Formats: sequence, C-alpha cells, structure tokens
Amino acid sequence: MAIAALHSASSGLSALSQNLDVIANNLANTNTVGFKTSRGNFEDLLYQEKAQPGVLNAVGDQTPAGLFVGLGVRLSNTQLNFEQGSPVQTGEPTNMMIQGSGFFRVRTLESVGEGVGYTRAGNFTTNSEGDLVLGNSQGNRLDPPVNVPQGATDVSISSTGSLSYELDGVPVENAAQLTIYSFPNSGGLISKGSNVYTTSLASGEAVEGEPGDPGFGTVLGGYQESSNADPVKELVELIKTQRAFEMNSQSIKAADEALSVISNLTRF
Amino acid sequence: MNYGLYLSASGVQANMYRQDVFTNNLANVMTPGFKVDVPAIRQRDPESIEDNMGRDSNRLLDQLGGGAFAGPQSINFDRARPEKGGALDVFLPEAKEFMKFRGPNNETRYSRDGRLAVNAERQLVNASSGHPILDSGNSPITVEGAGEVTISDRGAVMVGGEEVGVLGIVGITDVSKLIKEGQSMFKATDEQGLAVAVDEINLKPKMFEASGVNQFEAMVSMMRATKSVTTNGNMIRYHDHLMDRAINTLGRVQA
Repeated sequence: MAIAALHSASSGLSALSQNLDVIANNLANTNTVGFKTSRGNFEDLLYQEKAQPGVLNAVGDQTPAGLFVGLGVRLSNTQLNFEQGSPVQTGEPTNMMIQGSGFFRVRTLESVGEGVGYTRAGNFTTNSEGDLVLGNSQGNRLDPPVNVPQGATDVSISSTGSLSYELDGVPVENAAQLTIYSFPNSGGLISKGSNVYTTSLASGEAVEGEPGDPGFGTVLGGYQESSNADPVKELVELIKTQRAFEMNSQSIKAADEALSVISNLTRF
Repeated sequence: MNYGLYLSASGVQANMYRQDVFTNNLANVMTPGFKVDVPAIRQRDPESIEDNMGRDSNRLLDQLGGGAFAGPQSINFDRARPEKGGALDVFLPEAKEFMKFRGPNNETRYSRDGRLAVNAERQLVNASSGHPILDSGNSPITVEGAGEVTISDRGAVMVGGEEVGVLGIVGITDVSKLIKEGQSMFKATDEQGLAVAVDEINLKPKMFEASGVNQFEAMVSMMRATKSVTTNGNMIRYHDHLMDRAINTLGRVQA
C-alpha cells in the first residue's frame, strides 16, 4: 500500500537515469569515427498477484479478471545499433570504411578480449614500421598485419580489400589482402572503449572473410565511417527520458503525501 | 462504534492500491509494448448481504453500503504509437495481434514488444527478455546464412534475400484471458481457442510499439488517487475527532 508505489517510482527513476547516461554517451560520441549508438531497452518487472482471475465469487460465478499490481521497471539491456554511418572523405589512402557488415580486427592487450578486438573505425595510419595501425589512443595494430613499405607512393585499397602501391617507380598489385570479420549477433559485442569491441558469449565466434564475400561488406579506401548517432533523435530521446524521470519523481511525492496522511492519523 | 470510520478506511486502502497501479504505469512510460493497467474500484456490499445475514440488522446502515473494494483490474489493449527502431524491430498495426514467444518451461508467451535481436545460437529473440520468437509452427526461427537479416512487412524473415522463416503472428480472440508476466510478456490463463493464426500478416518493419501509457492521463489519475487517499484519511481524523468529542466532552463524568 503506497509502499509499492514508492518502490515502483524509484525503480523508474533509476532505470530512466541510466538511460540518460546511455543517451548522453551517444550524444558525446556524435563525432567519433565508427561509433555505434546504444539503445536502452526497458522492461516491466514482476506483478504482485492480489487476486487470481477465474476465482468463484460468493454467488458461484467466475470473476472475469484478477488483481495484479506491477512492481516497476528496469533497464534490461543496452542494444548496440549497427546501422551504417555516413562516409566521410579524408583523402588519406590508408583510411578505410566498410560498406555493409563486417569489422576490422586489431591486436589488443592480452587481457582485453584474448588479444584481439574488433572495430568499425577505419582511420588507419602507418606506424614507424609501416604497419597499419588504428588511429585511436592505443594505436592498435591491424590483424592480420598489413604493411606499407617506406617510400611507397600511390597507395590504394580496392573495394575487395587488396592493397596496391608503387615502390621505386614499380607498381605492386595485391601487395596485401585485408581480412574482415562478422558475427552471428554483432549486437552482443562488448564495447571496450577506444572504438574497439570484443567478443562475448552472446555475440558468437567471429567469422572470417574478405571484403565482397557474401555476407560481408565492401571496403571504401580514402573514406572513414562517421558516427551513426543522430543528434536530433538523441535529443528527442533525452527530452522524453528527462520528462519521464520528472513524472516518476512526482509519483514519489504522491506516495509520500498518502503515507504522511496515514502516519498523521494517530493523535496522542 | 462509528461505522463511517471503516468506510473511510476502506476508501484509503482501495485508493492506495489505485495509486500503486498508476505509479507502475508511470514507471513504464518508456517500456515498449507495455499496456496500461486500469484499476477498478467497486462498491462493497453492506455486511448483512456480504455475510448472508438477512437484511433487517440495521436498515440505515444497509442503505449506506460497505465502502469501497479494489475490483477486478483490466488491461487497456489499445494500440500505442509506433516509434522508429532498428533493423530487426517490428510493429503490429492491429491492436489484438500478438507475436508468439517461447517462455519458461516451453510455454507460449504473447507480446507486442517487437524489439528483436539475434542471439549467439542465431535465433531471433526478443531483445529484452531473450525469449525466442516462434513461427506459425511454434518453433524458433534460426537465421543461418550469410547476409543481412531483414523482416518484410508480410512477416518473412530473410537472410541476404533468402527467406528462412515467417513470424508467427496470432490474433487473440479474448484479450481478457491474458495476464501480465513482466518483461512485456503476457501469459494466457486459458489457451483453448485463444490464439488464431492471422491469415495475412501485415506489419511495419523497423518500427516498434511504444509504451501505451499516456503521460497526462497517468499523471492526472495518480493525482486523483492521491487526493482520494488524503480525503479519506482526513475523514478518518474527522470521525476520530467526533468520537473524542462524544467521549471526552459530552460524556465527561465529573467527579
């Protein structure tokens, strides 16, 4: 009695404030290369059964409906949205964008995802040894490695992921082949920050392929994939969540008002 | 004793229950596929009728009635508005149509929450609860093969343009037989003849059904329930005050 209301409202406040965090993170990453938004999924909690439907009443008829009081809401999970981000031309030949499904694989610390991570961010550059590395704070090396030797000019990556360049005036075709990976359930990947995802039990094992294979996207060299966060949509979600949060705080006030009347009934 | 005291107490209790239900509705204002609970209050029969004691115990009180009771609660199954969603989301435009899911113990669950996802076994599942969605033959849909998973407006699940299954959409003949189980899922109290397969599936892909809660209505209902609690609570104090007067002022025994 009214205590349930207090708890339902507080469950609403905590779920909605978590959703605010998710939206704020989406908004903060509107300019992050290869960023994929998350969506908070809400679900209602269990129902307290005060009366079963179909119970016989005093006259012997079945009651048509029962009496159930819901106990609030929770944020069941956040679902990654792998909708394609729009291409941005960079002019950098080692930048790549996957059109369609697929991830680049990069080397990570042994403690993170057993040494490999997956990314949609294609802002690759060459390191001092000429290996392609991800342009994030870690500089994760592309795996399997792709090397662009020093002095190579006219570097280009074809839509099927084959690297060609000109070295000492001699054109080299198919110098290296890019490998990309897809997942049974890419929504189940774990975001590790720095634009890198690692596998989980829910994502399933990575499937290897080359760009252009059935089920894999193609590669666009000289472009990178921009964030798929739509600021307008996220702001609308932000407003909705904020208002819902406010309304739930009003529920707490209402339940408190009812309880204070009860507690003030006694006179001494 | 003062009979009105009990009537007011029943008013407080019944309205606090309403407040609980409205609060839960408000908490679920962002839960997709959530349906609004409508609490009912019914008049309680006077004691003489309720306990079958004959009518002439106290005619005046019999006319007053017995206060208020929480009545049978119903669920408002009106269709809620569609919202733009991800690639695997579906929205059912018909309010009485439901998707079938496999719940605990292989029991069938019904839901209008169309946020779908693929799990590690490549089954198409509800994103929130993880229950696999069923086809018309009551088996889960596995999305094997290479290519993008899409759902057509006829409910066909395609992988790279190849059809791998059709969503089992059913029309519920009597929605009052559905009870809530949480996680936006409904359980049937009586499966007999309840779910009828839909002849021609018509759904909206890449959308999902928002919560059925109307914020304004829910807020106003909650404010009304709260005011009813405080009014009835004040009536209790008034009865108490009345008795205090009767005992300590009118009936004071002077030494």
